[in-house]
Amino acid sequence: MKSTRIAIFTFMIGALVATAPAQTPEERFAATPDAVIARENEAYERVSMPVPTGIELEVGGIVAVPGKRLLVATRHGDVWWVDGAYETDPHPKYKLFASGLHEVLGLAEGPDGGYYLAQRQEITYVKDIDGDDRADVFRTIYRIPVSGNYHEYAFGPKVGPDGNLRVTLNIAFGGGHPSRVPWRGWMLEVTPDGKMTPIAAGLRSPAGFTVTSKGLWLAAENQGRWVGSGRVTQIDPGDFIGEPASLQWADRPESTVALRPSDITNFEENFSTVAARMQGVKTPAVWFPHTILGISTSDILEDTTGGKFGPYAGQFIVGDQGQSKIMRMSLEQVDGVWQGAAYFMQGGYDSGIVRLAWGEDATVWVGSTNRGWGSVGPKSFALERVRYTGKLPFELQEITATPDGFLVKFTQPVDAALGVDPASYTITSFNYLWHEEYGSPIVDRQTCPVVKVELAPDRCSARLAVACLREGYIHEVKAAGVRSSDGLTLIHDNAFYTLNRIPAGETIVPRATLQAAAELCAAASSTPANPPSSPTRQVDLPEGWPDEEVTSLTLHAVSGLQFDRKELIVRPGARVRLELVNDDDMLHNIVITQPGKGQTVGAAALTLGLEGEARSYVPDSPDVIAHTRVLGPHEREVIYFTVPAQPGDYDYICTFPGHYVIMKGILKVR
Amino acid sequence: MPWLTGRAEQPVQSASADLSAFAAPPANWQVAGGATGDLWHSNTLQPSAGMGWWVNQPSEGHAGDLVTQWTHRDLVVEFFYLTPAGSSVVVYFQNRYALPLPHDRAPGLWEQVRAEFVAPKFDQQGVKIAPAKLARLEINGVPVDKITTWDEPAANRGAKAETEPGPLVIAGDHGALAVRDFTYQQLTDAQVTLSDLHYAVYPEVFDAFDAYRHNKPARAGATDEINEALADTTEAFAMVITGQLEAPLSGLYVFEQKADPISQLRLAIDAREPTPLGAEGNRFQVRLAAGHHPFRLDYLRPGTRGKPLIAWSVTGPDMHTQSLSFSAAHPPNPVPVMPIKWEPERIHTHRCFFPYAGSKRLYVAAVGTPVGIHYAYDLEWQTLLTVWKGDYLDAGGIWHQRGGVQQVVPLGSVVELGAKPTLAILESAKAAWPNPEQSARETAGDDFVTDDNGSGPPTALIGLPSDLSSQGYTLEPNGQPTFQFTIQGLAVQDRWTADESTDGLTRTLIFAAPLERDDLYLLLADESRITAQDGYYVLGNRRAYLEWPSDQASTPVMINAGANQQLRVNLPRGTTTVTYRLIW
Repeated sequence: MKSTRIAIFTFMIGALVATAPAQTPEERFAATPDAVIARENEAYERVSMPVPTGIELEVGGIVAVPGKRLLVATRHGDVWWVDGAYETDPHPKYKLFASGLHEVLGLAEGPDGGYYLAQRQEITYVKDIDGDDRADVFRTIYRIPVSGNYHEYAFGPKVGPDGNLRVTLNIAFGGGHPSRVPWRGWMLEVTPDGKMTPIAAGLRSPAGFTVTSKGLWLAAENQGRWVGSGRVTQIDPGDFIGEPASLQWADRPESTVALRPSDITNFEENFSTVAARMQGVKTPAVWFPHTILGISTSDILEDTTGGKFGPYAGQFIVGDQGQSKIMRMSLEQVDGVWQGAAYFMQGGYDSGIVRLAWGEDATVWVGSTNRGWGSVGPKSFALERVRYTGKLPFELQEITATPDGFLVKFTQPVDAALGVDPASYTITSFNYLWHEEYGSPIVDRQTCPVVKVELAPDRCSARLAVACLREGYIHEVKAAGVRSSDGLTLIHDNAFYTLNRIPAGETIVPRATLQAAAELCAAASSTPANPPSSPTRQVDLPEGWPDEEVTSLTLHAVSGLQFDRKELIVRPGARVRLELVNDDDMLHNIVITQPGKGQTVGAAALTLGLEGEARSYVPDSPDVIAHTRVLGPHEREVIYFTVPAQPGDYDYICTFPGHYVIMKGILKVR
Repeated sequence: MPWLTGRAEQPVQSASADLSAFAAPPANWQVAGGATGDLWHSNTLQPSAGMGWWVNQPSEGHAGDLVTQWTHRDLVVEFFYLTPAGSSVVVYFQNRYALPLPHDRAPGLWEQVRAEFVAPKFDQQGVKIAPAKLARLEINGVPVDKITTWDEPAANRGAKAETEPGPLVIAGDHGALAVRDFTYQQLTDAQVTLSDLHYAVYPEVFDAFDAYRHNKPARAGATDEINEALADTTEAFAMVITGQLEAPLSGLYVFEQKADPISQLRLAIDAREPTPLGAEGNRFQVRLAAGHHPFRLDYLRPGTRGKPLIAWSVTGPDMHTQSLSFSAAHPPNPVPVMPIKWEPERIHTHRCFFPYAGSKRLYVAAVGTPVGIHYAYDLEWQTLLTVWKGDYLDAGGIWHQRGGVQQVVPLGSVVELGAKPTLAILESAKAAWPNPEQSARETAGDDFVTDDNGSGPPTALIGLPSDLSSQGYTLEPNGQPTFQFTIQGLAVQDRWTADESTDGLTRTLIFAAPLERDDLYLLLADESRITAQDGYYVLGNRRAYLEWPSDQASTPVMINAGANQQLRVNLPRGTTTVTYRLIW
């Protein structure tokens, strides 16, 4: 009993300082992502392939071909042989295998020495029959329905254990119905002779999907309308996974999806809450909290190397386009439902990651493009190679659910005193809304008291007893206080577990103790509201500002991570009414900073974690002069601010994570 | 140049069908209704009776030029021309500056030229400050990029000084040729001027013009220029701009008003609205006397999507097209031209969405050849949509940023063919040809899917019922494609080869097994009219030829199909191969 009381006390202290790490804002700014990347790179060596001028290697598909060759398909419609990419100091040779295709976003090995690929409008089988390394056969396997809208991407095909192919089809974007023609927003299965069966509906922009070694189909999803955040969902035939446009075609005879468009209303409730009462809705196995852990989930790659790629055998690597990073995912099944955790892995990639593929010798090939969306990685496209260096990183290896909390495994033994101290851990749960609006705020946030920790004898795993666990919620597990035996901090001290089901079984503390602690939870629950006006975000005309003296400026956020004007000129001390109009289909804000501080503020915004969304991704910083909130597509906001008296070139940026490197301009004060 | 208006919509002068526009037409020129002759092998045209054509048939010592009775300075001239092989067409502006007209079509087919000539400019001392030049040249509707300027007159031409106007001349000594539909417009340097400009902004949502009539404007004042930025908002608003427009000359003025997609512009001059001109709805004409006219331009933006745009331009009587607003002179971000390139000597096949007959065809392979003959092949109908010569394709609509339109643009002068499913099983020789697009529209009714991202009204047609099923294509080592499809299970190979010497494409259809039925028909052409002549079928108004080899077992027949004529051939039982040529 005594130890339990201490644990609760520890929690209460923790609750008072909220979830903030024990650092001042200045320290947080100092911890630049570069330092983290340096540690990530010790375990995983990243090598970028040189690409000759004239080759637009906007990667849409990669297949490693025996003999240390690669086939790389591109959005420009070419498929390249890449030879020499495995060499220590690679200078690969590029040779065309095929060209003239329409935005290839997937490539797979096919039968008889050929390959399958998905173009916008068809699944094609390509093969070189005369042995000159150039494809001669372009056989149409299946004609994909398209309306001609740019957003109708087709991903895949992936070849299932039965030899059948699957593709996922984006819905359209813009005016009109998003699923304009049959099967947009569906996963389809197609036999090698072209017979199609619709598998599942509710997809929006499923840029990555895979079938696991156990035959499990997983599809990643990108945030948007009806999709609060990036996520990975396990897919069974007949599933509906959240975006209702696809239900337009659910009543067709081939469909096994039982839901109809009329079943879906603009719920404004947690996705998991609605799904719990509505048959046929499948919620994600793992959420990737938007901006905190990726902003545009892409490929999923199962680690089948048995440990040759580091300590994560059996887990999944998940790419992210906008943040140019790879993440990790672990899965487990509880009560027949898949769930698991999402982890940081490695950032700093050259461009927007779209494709991941295994090569020989446990090499991962990473293919990227950022055309039209932009990415933290500055290059337009890239092909990179990643290998495990053998230097074991200190990371959260895996988090699994237990009847009263989580089992947290570490890659290395941890310091016993810190590892067993509940104060070393914080658990925060939250959820996302299911609604028509683009994205979702983080809602129903709650701190979950860590009641007790048991450290395994090998000090490589800690069992956490946690109060206030909620099924259907994402639980951030943060182990900021844990150190390795050598005194190292974790490279990434948090991960996000999607707790669809709490497993039954033995608890490590009495259930009554958990109940008692749970009474504290309700008070801690919060849902951030729309951000109020602040000194740096004045949304009302300030008193005493005469109309005629206000300088009016308008900026548009346009596609490709751009402001429509790269330069604004104002006089010193001017009173400015600035309107930001979001013409893009992504989220944007504008932050005006002191001269030369745009990139610093943008980088600081990346570190805001769960706080970011509620704070419009604007860090506490004296360098911030003024900003808007984050605007959804076609939203607008007017702010008022006074230009500094000091002439100079002030920065303006979008601090929505991943945008600031590209999306910027200069406010010239003259 | 203003970007809004490629063409002056002024009523232009048409030379009458006879040769009276020309000073003493020489005997080698005559009026005809057509011409015949072996256009490939002899440089002759045999005029046939009728009107509408001016035919030049030069002979030894009789090769006089056609010289206009009028003289000109700045001039827009437009006409169709046609030659047998070996001839060329040369025009002399002001009887001084030679413009040889390029050919991209086969002998005997009409080509179209539109040239905007700008006479040399001189200062008050008579010193030349700008040479004669072509502001724009279009051949068969495609702008020619090369800028043509003339520093001095052609030798032995234009006796008078360059400061003087001269007649337009069509040379008679470059071989036989025919001309039709000759129109021209002389342009002056006169300009419309605007003055006393005022604006008033009503920053609310208004559903109709004048709904803000009784409101007080939130912003108002004088301005030097008409600019949507005056409103200083991109939300919904209405704006009224008033002022005086000075017409330098009396005559017909054509105004073009273009707003952003959700907005509208309304023009009134002398307190009345001009008459809409044409179907586009944004061009208006009004006859104005020289002098000042009050005008009012209302802009109505009822929503917030996109950015406001007020693009206003005018083409006055014999005047160049002129921008009247900021955005008419400064177009917003254009999509760059991104030509598709490939290895030399190879034939390139490109899967794409393709513009055709005002819609977006979605299952298309566009084939480019090193000899500059290109075609778009439809993989639903298994036939050609469009053929062209010259440059290949612009992929800017696909490769720039997200590729908003996802559609290519052919870079040469196109001939759009009347495309329908190429093969059909018919109950009778005159049965209607299957028209899946028509069927889809009728079935779908109001639900018919249209894409909002294209320009114009593109349509998306998915999975239409057809007996044809594309199987894809194979490539030969040089890239030459053979398309494969089935018709009711019968496998067919379809190969189109470019042949430089015949200016066209040869099609070879090969059936996997000898035909075992006699109700299979091949659609050769679907055109406004089809004429058999000299061993060819002439398509439309001399747009292209179809050559059906006389040694084949069957003979094409002409069928009236609505407003069009169709050339069909019933393939006999036992057929394994069909070959014919399309020439243009």
